[in-house]
Amino acid sequence: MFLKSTNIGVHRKGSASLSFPDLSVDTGDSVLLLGPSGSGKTTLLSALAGLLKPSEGSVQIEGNDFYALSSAKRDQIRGQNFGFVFQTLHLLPSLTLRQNIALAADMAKASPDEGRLDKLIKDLGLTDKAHRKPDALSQGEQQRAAIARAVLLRPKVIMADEPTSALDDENAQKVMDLLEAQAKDTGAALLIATHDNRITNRFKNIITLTDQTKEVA
Amino acid sequence: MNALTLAVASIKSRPLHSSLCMAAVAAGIALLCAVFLFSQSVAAGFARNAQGIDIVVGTKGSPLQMVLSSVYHADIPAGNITMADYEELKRSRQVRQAIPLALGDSYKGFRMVGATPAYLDLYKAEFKNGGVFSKPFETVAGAHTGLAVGQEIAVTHGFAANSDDVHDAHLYKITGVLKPTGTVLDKLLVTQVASVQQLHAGHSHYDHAEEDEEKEPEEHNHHSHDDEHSHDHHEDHQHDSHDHETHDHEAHEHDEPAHDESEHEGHDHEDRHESDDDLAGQVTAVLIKVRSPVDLMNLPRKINESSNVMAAVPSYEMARFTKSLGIGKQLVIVLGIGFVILAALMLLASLASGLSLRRYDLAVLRVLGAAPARLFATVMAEAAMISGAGAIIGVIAGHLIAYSAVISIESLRGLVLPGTLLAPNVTDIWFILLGVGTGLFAAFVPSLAAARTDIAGLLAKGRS
Repeated sequence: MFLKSTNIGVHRKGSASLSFPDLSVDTGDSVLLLGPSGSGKTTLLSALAGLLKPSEGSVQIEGNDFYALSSAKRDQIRGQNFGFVFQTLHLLPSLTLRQNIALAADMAKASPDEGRLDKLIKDLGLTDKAHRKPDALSQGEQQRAAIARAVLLRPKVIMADEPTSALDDENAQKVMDLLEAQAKDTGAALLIATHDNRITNRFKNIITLTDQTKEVA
Repeated sequence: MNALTLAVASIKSRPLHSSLCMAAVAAGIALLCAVFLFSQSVAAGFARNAQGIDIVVGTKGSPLQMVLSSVYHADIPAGNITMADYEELKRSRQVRQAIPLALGDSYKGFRMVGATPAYLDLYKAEFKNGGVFSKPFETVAGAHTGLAVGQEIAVTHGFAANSDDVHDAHLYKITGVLKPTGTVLDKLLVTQVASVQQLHAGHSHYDHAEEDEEKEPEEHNHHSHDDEHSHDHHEDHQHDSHDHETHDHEAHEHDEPAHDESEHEGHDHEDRHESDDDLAGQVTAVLIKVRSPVDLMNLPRKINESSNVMAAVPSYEMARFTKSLGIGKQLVIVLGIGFVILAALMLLASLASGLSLRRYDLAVLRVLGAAPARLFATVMAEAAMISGAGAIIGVIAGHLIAYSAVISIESLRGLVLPGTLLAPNVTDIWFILLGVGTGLFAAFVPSLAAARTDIAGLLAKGRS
């Protein structure tokens, strides 16, 4: 089992306490975290990715307690094994599209694989735009670049936070196709958090989160 | 791609902001650098002009005035001492070299200095054309006088460029023109002491003999008829032990309407001559090189205590003088430091505001695996580059400011070598480091904030 969570709860001051159902993800899996906004989907993803130490419970990565590791080690593991796609794209406006994708390797301190980078850019139809800044690209092109960045290092798990909610039906399905294709290509697990019901039919493994703010309030 | 590439990209993406911060750093550093170079080169100029001159001896009065007038040729001499005083100094065991100076005349504002060829050697002068004087009324011209070998000139009495009091009895002949030395010598004419003495001894005999003799005695600071520094010359005048009418010096009581009164004010100009025979037997000052550092300590005290002449140490007098000028310099330094602090604040504001825009970018970097230290380094690198570029621009500008200040101030010519102000200076490195240090100091808090970005919280909120 690559990634496993047990009895995770997150208490942050100023916001509701969240507790989450247990979850386990292995390479090749596809898991959908379905829940309305306020159900703590992003918080759960952060906790699973080593970005937010849960107040209770534990996260295991390849059998080890993720938060028993040093923060530097967690950063390193995350950089090399996790790929992220966000609802808002988070491409750096000061860098070109190609530099944005290459950033994944730089930040994870992995040696850049130029061949892989070029192939990804070509496969995603971005070759012409490789040296443009994100501002000069369409929404769809930015979305594809963000996915390319997530999969550059052949991660073990691709985490996507609301990858489709801002898109129309056609683009939503295209992005899901792309994510699934890239996950299959790299052998990565796909963990998608969304409230977008249009894509639920693609998943067998669905974990439903409820809006926990109401219970507390 | 590393922290530097990211920083460069970030700087480029906000050109106006970045260049304003750079300009602020540059302004502060330029000001500090210019003040430093300026005062350094002036101090070096003072030192260069006083090289080989351990002690100046002249008539009693203000030591600073004596140093200024006989070393830097910047003030009016207070009076003269006798040749006998000079001879006595020259014979002293403690004196290695004594150069007599006879001052009092000028040519178009360039002072005529009666001295010995050793005076030229003090400044390691080299001839561009011609050679040294060997007879009375032969003279060597400094590099900036614009004179040529073979030219004959009539000097005027006093130091003003527009003086009408021409010593036309004797013309000086230029025997040599010197190469620039970066010292006062560049603006001087040097001749034998005897030339000046003769000219003044003969002043009344030859000059303006036809001019009216009934006018008020002209007030002169003139070595050939001054033998004592006095503050109450009017009184002296009235109680003059000599009969004016019997003296030839009346001949110089000519009309000089254009003569600058202020030039003479406060200086002695009594006409109480001991004897006409002594007119020729005087020098204005003696430049002394001592045999040992101990002599430098003892000789001035000995002279001041035991004789009717005064000794002053140029380096000491100039140190006191520049110290009193130091207030202006301090003001500019305070201004420069103020600019640097302002630059630091601007940089701080710029980075802080830039950071709130870039919080998501930084969070992304963390998500992609960058450790907090790396984000810290990225923001610090950005500040270092902006302030470093600003500091380099500032140092270059500082050199140019100091250079243009020096070439535009006429009185600094001969004191300061403008070329040296353009040359790179070791301290440039310190100014650049100061600029970068200021930038890093300003960036510390924003960098820390960047490193501590709450990623989970930011991601949950999303980019608006």
